[in-house]
Amino acid sequence: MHDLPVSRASTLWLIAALLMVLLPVWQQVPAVITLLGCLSAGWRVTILLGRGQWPPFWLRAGLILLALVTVFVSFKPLISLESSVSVLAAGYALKLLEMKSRRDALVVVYIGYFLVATAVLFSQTLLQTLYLVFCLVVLIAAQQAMFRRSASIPVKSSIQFAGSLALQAAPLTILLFILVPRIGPLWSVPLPDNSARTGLTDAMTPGDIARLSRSDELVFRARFKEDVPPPRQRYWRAVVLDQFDGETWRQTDKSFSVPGGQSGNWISREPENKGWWLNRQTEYQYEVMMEPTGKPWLYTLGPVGSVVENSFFYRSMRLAADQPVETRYLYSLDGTRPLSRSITMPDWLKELNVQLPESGNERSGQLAKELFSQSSHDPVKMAGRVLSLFRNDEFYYTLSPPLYSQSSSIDQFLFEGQRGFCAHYAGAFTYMMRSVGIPARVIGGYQGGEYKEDENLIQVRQFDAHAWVEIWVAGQGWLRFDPTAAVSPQRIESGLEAAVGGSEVFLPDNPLSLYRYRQLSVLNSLRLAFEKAEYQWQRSVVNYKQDEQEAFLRELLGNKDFYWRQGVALSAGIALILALLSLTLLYRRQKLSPLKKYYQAFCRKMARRGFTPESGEAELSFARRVAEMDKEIAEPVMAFARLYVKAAYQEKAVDEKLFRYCLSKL
Amino acid sequence: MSRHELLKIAVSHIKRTTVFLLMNEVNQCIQALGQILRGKDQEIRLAVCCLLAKGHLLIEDLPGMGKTTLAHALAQVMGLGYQRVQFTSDLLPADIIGVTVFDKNTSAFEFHSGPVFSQLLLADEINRASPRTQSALLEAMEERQVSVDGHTRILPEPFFVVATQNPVFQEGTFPLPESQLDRFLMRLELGYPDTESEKAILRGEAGRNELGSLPEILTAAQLVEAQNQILSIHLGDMLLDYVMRLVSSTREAGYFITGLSPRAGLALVQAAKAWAWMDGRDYVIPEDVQAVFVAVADHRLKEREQGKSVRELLATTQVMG
Repeated sequence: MHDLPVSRASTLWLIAALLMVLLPVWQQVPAVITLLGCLSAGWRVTILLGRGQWPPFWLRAGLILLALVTVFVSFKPLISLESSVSVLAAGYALKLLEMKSRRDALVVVYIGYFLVATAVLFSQTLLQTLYLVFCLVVLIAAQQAMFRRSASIPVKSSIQFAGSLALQAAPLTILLFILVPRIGPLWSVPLPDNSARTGLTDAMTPGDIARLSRSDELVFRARFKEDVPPPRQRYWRAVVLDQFDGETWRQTDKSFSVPGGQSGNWISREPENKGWWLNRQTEYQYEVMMEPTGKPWLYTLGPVGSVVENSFFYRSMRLAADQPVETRYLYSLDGTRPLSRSITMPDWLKELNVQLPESGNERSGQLAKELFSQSSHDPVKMAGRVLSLFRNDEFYYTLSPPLYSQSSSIDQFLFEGQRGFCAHYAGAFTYMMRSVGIPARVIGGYQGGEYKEDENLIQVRQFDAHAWVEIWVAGQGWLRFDPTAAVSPQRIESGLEAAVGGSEVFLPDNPLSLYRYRQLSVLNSLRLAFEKAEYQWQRSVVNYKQDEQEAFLRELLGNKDFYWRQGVALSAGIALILALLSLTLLYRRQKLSPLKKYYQAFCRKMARRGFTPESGEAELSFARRVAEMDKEIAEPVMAFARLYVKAAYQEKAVDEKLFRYCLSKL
Repeated sequence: MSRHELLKIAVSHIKRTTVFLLMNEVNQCIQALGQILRGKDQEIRLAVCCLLAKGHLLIEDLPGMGKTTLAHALAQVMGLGYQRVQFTSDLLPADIIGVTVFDKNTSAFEFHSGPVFSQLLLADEINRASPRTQSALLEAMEERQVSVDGHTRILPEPFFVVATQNPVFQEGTFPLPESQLDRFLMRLELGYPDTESEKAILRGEAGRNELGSLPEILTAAQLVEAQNQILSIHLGDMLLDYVMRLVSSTREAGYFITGLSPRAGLALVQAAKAWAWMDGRDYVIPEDVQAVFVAVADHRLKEREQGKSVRELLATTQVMG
């Protein structure tokens, strides 16, 4: 077997498979290795066409060295998932250049299978999965083509064969996926590093959110059990920015220690026991599936009063997971929120929320004091005055505001530019509140979202990013104000797209985004269907982990003797599927040849005239009998029978038109 | 294609397309035989078919039904050199094959060939001979050669055995063993003639008396030529499926003690080919198989008590799979 040459068909399949398998990992491997893959494929094609020579040994060795050096240079911690995959991809690409015997080709195919498996580690979306299944089919076709005798290129039959193999494997795969217990890994490789991911940050400097506004990347989906909040209440809380250094708003982190207080006053796992407030039930119960962010924040609808598993509660009424969210994460909230009157405000917290830099933005501070005395020192009236200032003066909502100098950005925004988006308005509002001693903070998150009626879920994208303000009023707790709503009510009511209107291009960076073309109803329904499928895929397949599996199976199989039942279900399922597959093999129906179909059609026509062939009566005898008894149709009957007999027993090709013609005469 | 052209093509298929060389002569033979043996056209056709398929023929019936007449007439119209052996219980193998005698003049042993060295051996009342003699004929029939005193002697070409036998229940018969029955391609039963034919025999217009006036229509060489033409008759896959259905139903259904052997299947196909040739076709159709099936299969099968007859089997086997 060792010196058997690789057939041309198989080589072609392998070249195709090489390019296809490199596609899903090309972002993970260095560009040089992708180029090596293309070079190798191209070279192999020239050899196949009889124009190229096999590369000499020194060249192959050089290419291998090049690949290894590239890997060594490209990856800083050398041992990582990406570097291992890169080495594998390089081996796969270069092995093609010395693949002369069937044994080599088998090695290439096996590496291909392995590469397909590694691609799943980087992304598990529905499209990617479908694509990888297709890659597998091509690899199977390549392997099968190796063992074919015919020298021609049976593209269709190979792919059909591979497809049917994959289809036959599907039921067993699904069964094993559902039933085989998930066991923790015995070893693990460092997971992909997501730190470079873009998204909401916990430092707000004007300009940041404008960039986010232009991406239609999915952030999370929230599925509601029953009621869905109206658009103006969809404030998704993620970060609370309560520290301002004159340029940037930041949030107070985990390490903050309460002056003189006990630990656990700032963050806690059990806020209910702390007596900070009383919780009340809200009407919204929902489940959030968030895309990986690389950040620990969890999204909640408004302030929360309870925690979800493996997360911390901050006293600023937000949630953060223990670990940065690196994979898709599903959690559900029961919808409790603090009863606003019961919220307490210790001195240290008040101090934190009125903190301002000592200098800078003097004009804004001055203006605030004027407004505060005009509103007779009432925080709520003061807020109303600031909002009406934004509404009545020449303030504009825009996604491309002028640049404001860092040191006095709020003064410049309020008195010179008067153009900005939510971050500018929220920052200025908070600054003015704080400068008259009202505790205030900027809340970052998302506002709005697209409601999908059939699944009762809200889908939030990066361009829904938003910033708003909370101020503290004694006796009423934290009150939400959205200064952006004063300037551009449409932003809140109908989303960013309406607010930007015709004057600015919505999503200018992404001309191909499906979201841009949602006016086209066909595309829009396609997009909705795809997103729905993707959501279901993530929710029920990718998220089907150890706990989900056990919960699902316990519900299905019952709690008693659970593991025993799981084992029985697994073996019974395997036996059943194998039995069904073998039965279909046994009773595979033979296809009727066109000839037999014509004869059956003939018999049907004869039956209508009252003639049926007797058992054991041959075709020609039957036709003769009919012809003798019914002279009218004797000619076409005999013509048909002669044609049929000729085609069936002389095995001469007869034009099917003749059969149809004779039948039409009957 | 216009309708008119289609019609023309379709009609052209109704006409026979193949006329074989020698087919006329064979048809004349059949006609001439029909003059001798009145009212037995089907049996005559089968007998000719058997010879064309290079097979040995066994004719079984009561004494006086025209078995021997048919055998004689066959030999004569086909232009074959023939010898007749009347089988009796004291017939010895050497009486058929020949003997080696010492010639005083040349002082050497000389082989005197027996009647088997002829193109057509007429074995009359074959089941009256002892099994020993019957088996001597066996080798000759299958191998078309005989071994005498260590020498293998080739029989002439063509070589046929046309045997007649009385039904087994008659006095003084040794039933032919299955192995020997299998050597015969066909077994025919003649049966009583119809009234008109019998009257013609009684008037002396047919029967043995007319044998002398029978012309020689074919020559042995022409017969061999026709046999070779038959070898190239086409057997379609669908037809073989039908043959296999027939053959395997004799084995499986439990109607018979033993089913048809592959040699029997081969015989069936050979006979069907010859029948197709006689019908002017260069391919075999199920009707050919059906025409020869009873003659080919009946003597090879032993019915069980609650079994089916060969005819019933043929009538119940589907032509279309």
